[in-house]
Amino acid sequence: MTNRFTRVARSLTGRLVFTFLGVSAAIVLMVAIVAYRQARSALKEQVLERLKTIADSREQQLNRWVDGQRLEVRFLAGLPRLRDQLPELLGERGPKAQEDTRRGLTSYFKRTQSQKGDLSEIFVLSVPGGRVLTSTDSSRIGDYRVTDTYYVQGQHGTFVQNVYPSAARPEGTPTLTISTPLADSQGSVRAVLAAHLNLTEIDSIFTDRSGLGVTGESYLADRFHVFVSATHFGRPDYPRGVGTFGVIRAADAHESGAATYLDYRGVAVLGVYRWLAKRDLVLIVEMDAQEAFAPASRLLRSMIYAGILSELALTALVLGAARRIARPVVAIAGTADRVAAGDFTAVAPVETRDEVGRLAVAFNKMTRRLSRVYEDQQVHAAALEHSQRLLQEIIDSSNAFIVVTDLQGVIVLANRPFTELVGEQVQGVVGRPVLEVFPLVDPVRRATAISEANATGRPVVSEESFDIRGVWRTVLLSRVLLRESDGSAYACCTIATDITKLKQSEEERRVFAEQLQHTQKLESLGVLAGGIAHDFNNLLTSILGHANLVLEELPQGSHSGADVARIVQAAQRAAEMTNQMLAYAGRGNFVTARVDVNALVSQMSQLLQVSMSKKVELRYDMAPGLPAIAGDPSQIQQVVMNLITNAAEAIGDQVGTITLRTGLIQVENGPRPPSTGAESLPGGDYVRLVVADTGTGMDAATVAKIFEPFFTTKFTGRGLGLAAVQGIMRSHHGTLTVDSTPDQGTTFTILLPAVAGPAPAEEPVRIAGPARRGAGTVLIVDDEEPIRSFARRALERAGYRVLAAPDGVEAMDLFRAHGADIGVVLLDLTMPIMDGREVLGRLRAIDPGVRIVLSSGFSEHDLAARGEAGDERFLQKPYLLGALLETVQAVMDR
Amino acid sequence: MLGKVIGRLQWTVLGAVAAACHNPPQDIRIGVLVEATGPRRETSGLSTLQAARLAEQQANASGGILVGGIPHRVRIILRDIGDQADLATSQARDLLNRDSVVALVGPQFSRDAIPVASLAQQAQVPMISPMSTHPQTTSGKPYVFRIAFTDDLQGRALARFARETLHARRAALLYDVALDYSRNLSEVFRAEFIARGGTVVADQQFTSDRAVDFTAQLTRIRAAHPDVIFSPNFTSADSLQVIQARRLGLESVFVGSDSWNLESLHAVPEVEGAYYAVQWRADIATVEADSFVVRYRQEYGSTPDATAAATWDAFQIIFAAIRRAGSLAPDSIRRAIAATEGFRGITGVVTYRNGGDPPKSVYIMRFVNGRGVFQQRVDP
Repeated sequence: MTNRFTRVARSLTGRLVFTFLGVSAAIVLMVAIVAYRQARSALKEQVLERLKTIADSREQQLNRWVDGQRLEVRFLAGLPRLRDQLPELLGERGPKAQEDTRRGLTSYFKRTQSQKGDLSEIFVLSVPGGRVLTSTDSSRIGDYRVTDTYYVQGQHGTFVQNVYPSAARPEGTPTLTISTPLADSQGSVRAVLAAHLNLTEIDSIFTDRSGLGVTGESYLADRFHVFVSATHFGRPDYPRGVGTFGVIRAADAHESGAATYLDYRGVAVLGVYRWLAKRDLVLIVEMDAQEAFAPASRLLRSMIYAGILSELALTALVLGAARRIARPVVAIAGTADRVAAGDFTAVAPVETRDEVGRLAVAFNKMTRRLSRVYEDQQVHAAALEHSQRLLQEIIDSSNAFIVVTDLQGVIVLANRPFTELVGEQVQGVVGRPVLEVFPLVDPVRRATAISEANATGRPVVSEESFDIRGVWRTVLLSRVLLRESDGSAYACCTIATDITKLKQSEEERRVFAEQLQHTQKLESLGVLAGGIAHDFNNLLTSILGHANLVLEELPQGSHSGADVARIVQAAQRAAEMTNQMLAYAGRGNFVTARVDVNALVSQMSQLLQVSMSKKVELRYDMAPGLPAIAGDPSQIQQVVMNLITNAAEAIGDQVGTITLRTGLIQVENGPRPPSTGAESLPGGDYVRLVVADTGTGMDAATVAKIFEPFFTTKFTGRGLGLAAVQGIMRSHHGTLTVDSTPDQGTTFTILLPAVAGPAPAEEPVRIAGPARRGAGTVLIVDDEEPIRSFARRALERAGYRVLAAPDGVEAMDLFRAHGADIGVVLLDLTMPIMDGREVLGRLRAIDPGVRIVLSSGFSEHDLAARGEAGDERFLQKPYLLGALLETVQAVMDR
Repeated sequence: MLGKVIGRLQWTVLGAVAAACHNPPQDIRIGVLVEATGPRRETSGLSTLQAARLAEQQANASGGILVGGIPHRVRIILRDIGDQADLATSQARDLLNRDSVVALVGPQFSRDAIPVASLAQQAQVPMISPMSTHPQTTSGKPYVFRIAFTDDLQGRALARFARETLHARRAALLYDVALDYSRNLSEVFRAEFIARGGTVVADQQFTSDRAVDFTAQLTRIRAAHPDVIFSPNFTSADSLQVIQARRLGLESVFVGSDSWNLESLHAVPEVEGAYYAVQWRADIATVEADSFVVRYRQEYGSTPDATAAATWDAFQIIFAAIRRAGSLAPDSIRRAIAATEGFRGITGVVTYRNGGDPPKSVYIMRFVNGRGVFQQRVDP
């Protein structure tokens, strides 16, 4: 229903009809309102004029009435009867005479009152005292009115006290009192005659409704807004008077006038208000606005009814006319609808020769042209669609990501790899901004690249990486601007090739090569150091051994003894150097044991304390319950000693603190930022040892060099300190890092892999027993003659019989010859012709129970790495006399 | 019909505009009926005026009175009632109807307070007459309250004192018959004195329009040989009466009432030895009274009398009631005043549990060496 109405209202006919009706209705309404307002205003004038006339007459009537009462009171006062009886009334002739007189006068006054009805109370007051001597209201007799105005003024002449709230009456009735003096025969004032006017009874004047219509009324109020008229007085609805506009204007501003306002009932009235200054009264004449304006309302009503009727008639006429005008237009509209729906055969009827007829002709022409254009366009569209499909298939077949956007960045073309990358369909991305579809693109870089491509006219190629669903992928982006024939750009084509794998394999190759190089360097260094150490150790064994022998044979306190001791010392330092060299190459003498780092540090504490200046405070901060590490205790000790010594030297003569801290850290798998001298560690638990000093610190250049062999900042340095520490760490699969700030101090941190289970209890140190005289035969196999001679002499001196062979072949001969006698074979592992390992095998083949002590200038660890270490006791070269004897004896005793 | 609608609309709009204009800012308007001119100015009017002004100042200086959380200024509207009964009613109606006050304070004298109380009751606006003692002021008028004790209390207390403490057997009465106060108080005294075994030997009256020469009345009293003369009148009459009595050789003890004005009587040596009643004395002050006395002295340079104290109390009771009521509707304020219980005022504790008359003590004083000396306290 509503829809149908809306459709009609929107149709041409409907609009014509409604517009016409709207305009004419507005005109009718306007005319009606203007007429109503004019009628109203005229009526207002007229009614107010009438009310004013009524008010005039009421005011005159009131004044006449009060004047009449004034005359009445004066008349009463002038009665000879009253004057003559005054002495009796005043009690001068005794109480009885007074009472009689009072009674007589009272009844006279009451008669007067009932005849006139306008005086509510007539009474006489004594002078002096103001006592009520007689009154028509007997309850008042005996009251005193000594301060009342009418009493005071009434002694001097006739006085009208204008309307006031009576103090004598509980409700404070508005009262108008007239008083006049009563003089005796001598003319002196002896009393006052007073009368209250019955204001509430003056309604006879005001209830006359002539000229006031049905709702009109007139009434009086006093200056305190209190109703005076009996019909209204004392209404509990108005305990504080009536505050209507008329009453307030008249009573408070003492104005007279006419207006429309709300009366005491809240009803709109036309009112005339008047301040009666002579009586202190407000006179109101009012009529309900509704009644006053009723003719105007009637006029308005009839105009509107007439208007509605003529509107209806007009509607019918207008509807017919509108339909006739609209019909050809409607027909064209219908044809247009068919054309719009695709029916180009539709033809609009040409019914008239006016503008509408021309419109139909033009429309038909237009339809024919449109039809031709449409057919052409269909052919073009098919061709275009074919070429588009071709283009799409071509770009889809590429591995690269291809996106074409317009200059505003909205995608016009995208290939399948790209849509698969962003997880969409081709249709889903076309028409959307590329930055929305693929938000990982940096808009600033993109804009820069495009503007560069625009400026140079060449493709701009850049390499960018994106985090695609958690995987970093590197692509080679090529951006090129597509241009119209006039050279202006209209689109941007981006072709991105994924080169992630390429980059990865490149990187892997680079890292591998670097590592290989490093390993090779270490390897060759190790081989070099090992070889040198081997030869050195052989030499040192001989030097130390012989020097020992000399020392033993020299008499106590001889000068030569001191010299030889220096040789021993020097040789021992050389041996130490050799060890450090091995350590740097990661091939130090290596004993694998479970080491408790805390315990190890505790054992060293005394040693550490004495090795540094008294000004340096050494603090320990050890984490309890650390797991053990696997390593060589002596090497770890060397590391600690080295770091502490470095720290102490960094502090020098200054006051400072060295903190030695241990702890446990967990290293997670995966790449970590590179740090100085640290290789990447596999994940797991690590024991951490930190040595921090408050010394001079180092700059970055110095830090970079400290791990180089023979680099030193110290005048007396031996140059292998930190290089050796690093080697030890490497051989323990640990790391060493340094953190230093000039003038603030240096912190070295080493991490060593923890092994499961707690650190072992300290093994009791086995104390070697006193050297015994040896017995039995020892076969020495060593290609170094000096060593052979030293060993022979040493063993022989100890009581052994010694056989010596310079190589494996001779050794085998000797063993075969003396096999049964030989208790121990001291066998050097590194020999020409037949090396120790082979000799060992052959010896075992002859006698599986043969007792052998292996010896080498290489370390046991090194040998183990080469698979040459066995169950046999091992004597590391260079060995001292005591070690040789102890080892041989121990093996012999087995 | 349409005309009616348009007309209605017009009035509705006018009404709304008028209401909107009328709303803020509303003062608390309290009407004060005061004897600012005429013979009662010095004995009562001035104290009323000063106490009222002080109460207004004090309330506004402390930010006004909170009504429903909004501070309102206090505005007292003073109306002079002189010495005319009909003026008091006119002024009261003016305050009630034209000034739309929310409460009335005064008048102080029963002659004026009684008709004004009727108007207040009729208009349903609370009224406190601080000093009116006549029972009729409050009787049957739930909107009307007082601070003072009543004549019944005072008259009985004075009669008992005369009979039992002064051991008087014969009493004479001398009073202004036109004054409700004096007449009624004399009646109460007479009844109580007789009830306690005394005799009233003389009953002499006068009216204030000729209250200059009392020789005739005093001569008659002298002839009756009274022990005490009860004279519950106002200062002008009292001083003349005492002077004239002494001149006639009348030696009877004078007993006055709370209407005796001490300020003016101090100067009359003949009143030495006379007894009178007071509502309140500055020298029996409480903590509350002390600060009031100090403030009053600072402001006006004189010691407040009972009228000032009672007027002050009336204002404080109204202020407290407005705060409690949280409204400026006179009816709410009346209900809050009626609920006043144990209010510690300057003149003592005020409770309106049994209507508008608070139970108050009567202090009986005596002029000794021109000063009032406390004699006895009579509790209700």
